Amino acid sequence: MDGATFQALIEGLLSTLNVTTLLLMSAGIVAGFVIGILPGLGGTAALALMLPFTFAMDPVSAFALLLGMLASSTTASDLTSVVLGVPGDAVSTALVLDGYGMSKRGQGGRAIGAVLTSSMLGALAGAFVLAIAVPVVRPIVLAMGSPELFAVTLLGITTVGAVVSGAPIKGLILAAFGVMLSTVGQDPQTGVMRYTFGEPELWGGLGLVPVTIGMFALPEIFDMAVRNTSVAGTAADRIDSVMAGVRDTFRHWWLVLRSAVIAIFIGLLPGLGGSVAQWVSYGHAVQGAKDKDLVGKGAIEGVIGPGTASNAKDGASLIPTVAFGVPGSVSMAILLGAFLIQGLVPGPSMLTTQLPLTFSFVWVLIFSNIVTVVLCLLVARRLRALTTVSGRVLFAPVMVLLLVASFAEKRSFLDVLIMVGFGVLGWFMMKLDWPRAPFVLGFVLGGLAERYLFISVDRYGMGWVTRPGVILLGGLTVLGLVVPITLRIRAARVRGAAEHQQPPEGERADATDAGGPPASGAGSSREPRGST
Amino acid sequence: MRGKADVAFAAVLGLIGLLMVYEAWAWPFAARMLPLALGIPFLVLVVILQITFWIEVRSRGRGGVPDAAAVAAGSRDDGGAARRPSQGADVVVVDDASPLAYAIHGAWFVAFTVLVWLLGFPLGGTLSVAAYLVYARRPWPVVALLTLMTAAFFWAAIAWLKIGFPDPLLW
Repeated sequence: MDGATFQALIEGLLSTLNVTTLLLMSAGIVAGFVIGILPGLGGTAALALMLPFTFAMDPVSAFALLLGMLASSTTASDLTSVVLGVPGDAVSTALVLDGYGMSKRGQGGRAIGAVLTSSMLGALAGAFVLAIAVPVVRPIVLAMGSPELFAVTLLGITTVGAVVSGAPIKGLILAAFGVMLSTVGQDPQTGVMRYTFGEPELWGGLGLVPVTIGMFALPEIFDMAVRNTSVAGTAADRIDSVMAGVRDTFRHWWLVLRSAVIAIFIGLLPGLGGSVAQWVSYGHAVQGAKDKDLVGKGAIEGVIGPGTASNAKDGASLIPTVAFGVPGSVSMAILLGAFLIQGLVPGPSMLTTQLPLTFSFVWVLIFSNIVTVVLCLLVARRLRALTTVSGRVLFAPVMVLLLVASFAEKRSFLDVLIMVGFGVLGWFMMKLDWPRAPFVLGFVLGGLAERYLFISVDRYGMGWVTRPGVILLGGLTVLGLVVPITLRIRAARVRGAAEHQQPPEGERADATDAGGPPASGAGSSREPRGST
Repeated sequence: MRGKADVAFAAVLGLIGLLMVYEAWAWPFAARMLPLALGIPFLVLVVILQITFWIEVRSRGRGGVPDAAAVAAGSRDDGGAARRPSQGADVVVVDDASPLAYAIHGAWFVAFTVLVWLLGFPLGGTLSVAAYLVYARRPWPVVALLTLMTAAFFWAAIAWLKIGFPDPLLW
């Protein structure tokens, strides 16, 4: 770092430590937390709501308010995913799987501790990269064309489809189904109406929020109320501490680092967005999970990976926004609006004359994430207690939240009905053990995949498949498909053969009663114990 | 029973996919590219899945070790290990709720949606919360607190977040 850059770094710090800036940052953190914790109203909604208030502010104060809000709303969204299984924002859906799974197993405190710590570490990593990366990453970002970006989306979809579910074919079917449903609406290239049934409100496609909360939140809260249990269920009597999750995160430092790198890389790529970063990090994290049986049901790796990614991508996605004027996500597009309001021109000037301002973004991200996490840790005990509240108390308020959240995105009552429809679909999938995550990922990535595929074919013909980047990413996709399936088949054969060699049922009864696992599937847990 | 439900569910998905692919066939190339590029493999996978279900039924009849195809499909994964409580996860959720409980809560959910549609979000939502909590026999302080919180939430959503809820159907 040369002298001028170091001076700009210090100037950025001093401008951030200004009293007005700190107060506005705090206001942003509080507002972002409140808005972020409401399902459906995530960071994007928070930024859009606050944008008009920045007209009268100087640039440092305006971005302190907006970035502080973005950081805390992201963390708050993550928390609702973990505690209630209701993602505060579509970006946080990946955390529902294992975060909420941990809450259901009475490990809500541990999950909260892990998600808060990992998101803080991820944010620090993202901010650090923002500070040093612009000259380094520029050639890489510019080398990624539409074919490579399509290959990245395909990699994300297939990895999650094949790995997360533990049922690769079902996972891939649902991922493809999600992609197909993402094509509902007007085709941007030809203007053809696809699967709209003549309904004008479907021209814009199916909303992400109604689909996501219908798929994940509605079946869970419905089931909880019917069974009259709490989120933590029968495990409520042994709820653990938040600090266990904090320790877990530091114990998995290598996973935090890898997830941060993945999220930062995806954050750098324009258009991929935060949910992609979370899902790809999730897919990577659960591949290395120690206990594969817990994946999707409460694996700590499945919390730390996406938790790290959720905030790490913010700093990284600022890079293309600031350096090239290309927003990396919807939130960044709104921030780009703030640039224009402030009379700033993204591009080389942000790395030369406006460098102190750019560094003030780094400091705001660092401070706001630390403050948010400390505040959340202080109230974590109360949040954790939510997982012990009866489903019949939560059912009505959460149901109202779901109705509002599904309506709020497009102000359309049809979205409420869509949420109900996907809720029914999600409930059947939950009951039949069909994985819901690949469907949602396919739905999230479908629009992007189509855009990149169209540009690739339009520009390169079929020659796009021979590009080195595409071949490399395609190879990784095939590996991501073949390796988990092969490993599962091998493990099942070994286990099946071992079970075959065990003595008959009657002789095994003692072992089963003594705490050994039942020999066959789910039905075993219902067998009357007296029979042994 | 569960196997039959799986087969039926996969068949319904396959049927929807088939209709989507059929409809896409008539569109211009750019519009049908992704629906067909994903739709055709989707249909192939559904067929493979149905075959694996059939293989699973056969191997279950023979009492053999899990077939590779069934494991890949997830219909018979790893000898039931995924559903067994593993170390640290000894919570087995057994679905012991009665069909009546499901029907009642389904009706409540429909009632929520209709009430919100008829009376609007603020009034319909608040009344729904109060009515359900009374039905669920929660203590009065809890009913009052949650009803007030819901009303406050709607007030904040309208006054601060400027969410324009639609007019109620009844007035």
